[in-house]
Amino acid sequence: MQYSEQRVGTVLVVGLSGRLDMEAEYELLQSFDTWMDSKPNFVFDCTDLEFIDSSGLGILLRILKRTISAGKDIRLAAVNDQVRMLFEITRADQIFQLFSTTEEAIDSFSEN
Amino acid sequence: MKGLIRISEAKCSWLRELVPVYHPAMIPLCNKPLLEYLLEFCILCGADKVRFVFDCPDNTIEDYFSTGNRWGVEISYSAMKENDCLEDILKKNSGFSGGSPLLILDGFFFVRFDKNGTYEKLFDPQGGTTELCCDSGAIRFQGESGPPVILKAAEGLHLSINPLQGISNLLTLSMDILSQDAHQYILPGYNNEEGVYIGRNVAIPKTAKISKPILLGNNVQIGKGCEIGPMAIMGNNVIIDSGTVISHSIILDNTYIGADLTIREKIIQSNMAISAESGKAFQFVDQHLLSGIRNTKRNQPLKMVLHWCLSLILYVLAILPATLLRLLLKNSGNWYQEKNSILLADGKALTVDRYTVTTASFLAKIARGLAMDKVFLLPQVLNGRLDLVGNKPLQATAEGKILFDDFANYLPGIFYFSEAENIAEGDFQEEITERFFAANRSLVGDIKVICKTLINRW
Repeated sequence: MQYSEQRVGTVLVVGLSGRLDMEAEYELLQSFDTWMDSKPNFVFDCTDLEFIDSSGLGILLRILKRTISAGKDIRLAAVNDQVRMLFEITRADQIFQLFSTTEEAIDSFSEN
Repeated sequence: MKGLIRISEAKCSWLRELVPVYHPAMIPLCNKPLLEYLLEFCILCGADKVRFVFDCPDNTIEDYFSTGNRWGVEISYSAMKENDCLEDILKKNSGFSGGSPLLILDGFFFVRFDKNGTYEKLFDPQGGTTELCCDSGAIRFQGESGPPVILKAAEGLHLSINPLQGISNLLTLSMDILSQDAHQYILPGYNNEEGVYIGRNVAIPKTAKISKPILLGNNVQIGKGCEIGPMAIMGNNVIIDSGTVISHSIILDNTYIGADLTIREKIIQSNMAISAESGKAFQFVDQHLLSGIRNTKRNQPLKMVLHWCLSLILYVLAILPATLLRLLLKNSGNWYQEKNSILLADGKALTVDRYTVTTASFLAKIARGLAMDKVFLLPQVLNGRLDLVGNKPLQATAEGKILFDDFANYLPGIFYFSEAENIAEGDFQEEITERFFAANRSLVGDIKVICKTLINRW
């Protein structure tokens, strides 16, 4: 699992690439702690996210919980069909806000 | 009249890729193979002998249709080459047709007809005007002389053909049959209420919500709080875990659907989910979400013998040290014994001694690590009441009985999956884990459970 970071205003756009599963947990949560220093809103750009399983979904839920408790929020952008199907089937699409593009996801924060 | 049904692989390779366990001709539409609908149409048209021609034959077809006795026709089988055209096939099967009128169903499509219709009149040359062909095939008729011509339907007859070119066709067609045209076909299952077809051995708890139309196959177990339908079709051997919502979807045979999921506009087969909207299929790696159900019955006698032999060996080897340890630990207060009433696989209650070993002393740690507390339950395996590896025994209480009524394939064991997985007693995950194990158990899985339990105890 690899990440890229890009700050757009108060939003931190994190590009996820590779596989989001149990193996990615430690590294992603550590990085998240660092990102939370500046308490940004997050957009996870999933363009290059190839695979996610229920462990990966669990990691995202933990991140979301911690972000919300800090008064911020997370948006997911450009999820592929496999990721979208997992979200639909597990009802995670009712918890996370999914957007077609990163730009739309970033704009959604300003709309709020 | 004779019938010839040809399905070439090229017309249905898309389906083969998505659902490889089915020969495309055997893909179920409302739990009935597509080929059976085509056969029934041929019979309605007056065919008494039908030949199936495939370029990729499959034993499952012959196993299912056999010689056609069930339908009162004579069924025969023939192979063709991938590039054979219809003329080639007719030449090769000239012995079958023998110059008599021949109804040819050529392609990969579904025929919409009415089981009460009189289709023999289609073969009147003065018939109507509707041409029976579609993008993926046609119905042709060859008279006693002359080449095959595309059949024209008579006016007033319910008859059309629908191409099968994508997964959305399959879903739409199945839903149409279930919701509008069910009376036109013979669908499997008991039907004493419009829009509800239920197979044999179906368990639906009171807390499940069923919205018609639905069609459930044989051996379907629905968990507590599930919402099934409208427009839900389930094949044979399907388990839906608690709280799951299924609508506008098809769950194919031998599939386990995990708890608290939402399946909408999908076709699910084993751990493969196919989106009707995008036509894309994804294989889920999380077995607690979607997985296949193995036919465990085949291994059942072998498994029982192995479990029994292993229990006997363990009992002979361990009874003496276990008795000795029990005496020593009981005196030091590290071995507890209590009566426990549990439910057996047939729902009867059995009172057994339940032992608990603390880890307060070195000796107690050894006794616990070697699972000495379980040794005294081994006679229950030898007399066939418990299994060596099975489900965590349910308590013979009112609550336990409710769980039992809703627990498919429950088989209490001395070693069980939730203990092997280190799930805390009473945790909500325990029930789900045990149901998952009941649906997916195997000999290798049983050995893993014993090993993991013993490792965890240290």
